[in-house]
Amino acid sequence: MVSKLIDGVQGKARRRQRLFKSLEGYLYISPWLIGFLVFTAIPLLSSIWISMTEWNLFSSPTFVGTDNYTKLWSDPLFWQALKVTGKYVLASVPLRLVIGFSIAVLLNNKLPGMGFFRTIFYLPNVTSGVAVSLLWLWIFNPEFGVLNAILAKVGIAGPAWLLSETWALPAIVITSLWTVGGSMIIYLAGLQGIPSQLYEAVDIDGGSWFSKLTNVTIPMMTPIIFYNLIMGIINSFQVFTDAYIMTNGGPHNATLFYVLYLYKNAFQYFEMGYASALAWVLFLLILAFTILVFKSSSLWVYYESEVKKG
Amino acid sequence: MRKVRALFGGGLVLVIILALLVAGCGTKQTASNSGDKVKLTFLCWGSTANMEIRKDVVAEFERTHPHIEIETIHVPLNYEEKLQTMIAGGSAPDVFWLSPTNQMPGFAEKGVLLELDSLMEQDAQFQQEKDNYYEMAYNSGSYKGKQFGLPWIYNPETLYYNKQIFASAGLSVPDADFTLDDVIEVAKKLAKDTTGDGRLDQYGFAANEWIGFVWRFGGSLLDNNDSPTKCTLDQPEAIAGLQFLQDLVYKHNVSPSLATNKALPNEELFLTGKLGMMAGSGYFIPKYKTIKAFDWGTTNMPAGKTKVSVAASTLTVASATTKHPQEAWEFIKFYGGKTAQQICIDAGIATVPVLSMASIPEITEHTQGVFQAAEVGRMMPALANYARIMDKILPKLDYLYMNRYDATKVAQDMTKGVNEVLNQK
Repeated sequence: MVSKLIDGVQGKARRRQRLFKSLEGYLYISPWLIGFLVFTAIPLLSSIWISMTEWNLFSSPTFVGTDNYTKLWSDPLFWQALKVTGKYVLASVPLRLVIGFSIAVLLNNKLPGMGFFRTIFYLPNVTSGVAVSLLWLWIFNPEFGVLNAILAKVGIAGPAWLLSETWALPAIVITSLWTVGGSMIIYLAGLQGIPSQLYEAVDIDGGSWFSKLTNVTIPMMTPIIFYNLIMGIINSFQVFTDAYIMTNGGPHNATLFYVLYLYKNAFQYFEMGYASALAWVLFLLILAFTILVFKSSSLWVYYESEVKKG
Repeated sequence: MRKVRALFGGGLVLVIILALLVAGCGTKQTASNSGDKVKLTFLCWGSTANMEIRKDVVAEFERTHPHIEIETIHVPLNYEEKLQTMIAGGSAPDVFWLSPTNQMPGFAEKGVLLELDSLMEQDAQFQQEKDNYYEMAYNSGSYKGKQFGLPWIYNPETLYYNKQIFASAGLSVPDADFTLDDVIEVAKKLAKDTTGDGRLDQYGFAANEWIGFVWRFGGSLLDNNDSPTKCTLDQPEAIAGLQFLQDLVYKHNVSPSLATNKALPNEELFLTGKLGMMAGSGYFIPKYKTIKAFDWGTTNMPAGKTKVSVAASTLTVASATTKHPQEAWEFIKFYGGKTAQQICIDAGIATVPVLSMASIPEITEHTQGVFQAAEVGRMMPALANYARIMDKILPKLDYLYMNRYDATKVAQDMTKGVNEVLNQK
């Protein structure tokens, strides 16, 4: 009886200690927690409410229910924005994946100068923002730009790039390629983690470099490819700065990226409600793609720690 | 002991963060009266050089109005976003600047601006001065019959000419009686391909404001500026004006192409001596005064069917939620008044005062065009849906400049787009 009593008291003390520990933990992360609540969670939740109103930022919002969402469906510019962004994602994500991976594989050799090239390829990632977009604007200028000048030397008459409806989007895709250094670094880290015995095994079996690539490198790298694919999809759906600075959606809405259209609705047309609805549709779209990729991952992603039965 | 220390540590962190949060969040606009002084917040844009002039005007205002103190908030970039944030957050500046065509109508429509009519009527001194204002400048502060601001700068479009280019071509510079046909004739003689690469290196004529040509041929953007029901860009006069713009580049070969302008805007082409004549805002005069490589002058805009100059101004307005409307009006009146205008003109930032002054600045060859053009100044209609309407017009204008479609098709597309926006609200 006494031992049960002692156990009870000790249990209470332990529980109180645990509670205390949790409280301590929460207090220490409270700066981040408060920031998250105030700047992310609460605005996120209130934007659901805002998306069901019509609000021009200065007067009080008027409740309109799901009107914004039905308006979206019949808005030709919404579909245009989806089309433009979709084309961009379909072009940019695979290209960045392949190019980033290839460069990483090439730079994974122990040849002199590798460090230098790794730095060079990563350098574009530390530059950012408006200045870079302006730089690209100059490069793509059809009459004075560097790109068309180089093409002319090879005898190709360069197109009007950012001033052409067909070439403006490819131009922005090209712009996105120069920051592959970021994913390249991650691939490099992954490549260095592949055990060399596997490559030796291929050598023993008499395989070529191609066999090594397809039977060892790529399968072992699938977790990292998976990660970069998801991040790539999420990020390329949200491209804004390049479109805003370089083309402002033109020519003739050929580069009206989704987030740019959202921005225009929010800050230039003063339609906060509609813009919020656009934001949530984008969220659902990216969520859908992400779930799709996750579900497919069991088919092609191989984790070394997994143990396959049988 | 450990528990207490841990709790203390965590608690301290929390307190520090809360303190930073409170300090970081802006404080709401309060009627801060230090003693008897009234404090007004004044939001403005502009380069650092122009800020000095602003400081002079504000200092002079504070000197002559000792009971008012001005806190200037200078926004070098993203002025509109900052303004929107302040208004939405409940701490709108008491007085601030707005463009009368791009911004004021939208803000007035939302009830954000203070109506000045009653304050103006009660102000006997102002009633006497009222008629001295250039009509176009004064009217730019009104929207739907109510006055929301006073202009403090008025910049009509003028025709700049490069005297050296004209001299080497053996031609006399344009005068105030030039017509558009004269301009074309002269420009053709001035446009040259000096490097022989098939592209012009020296251009004859370039224009910044497309709407001016619609007006010059007798057309207009809307059927009625005060209560527009439809866009009239598809009328033959407007189409003629747009076609003229396209012909400048592709038929007469005197103007730079769109691609060239993306690399070098017209004002830079003129600055670097590559442009014989430019139709541009008087706003560039202070900048061009630094040109040493060649002499230049200005003259009135060339006449089409009518003589007209696209004018722009900047208004000083007050917030509807200001706690000191009387003092805000004093500031607005001062900035658009003779003293402030004199300061701006002496500093070279303004050329034409918004109202006629006793001491007119000496008119030189540099500034004569602006004064002549001020008489025929006309501003874009005040559009509450400015951003949306421009998004329907400007992309189509690109087509015009790229020679993708002729003016008729472009005008029809623009009209369709603008009518959509007009019928929305």
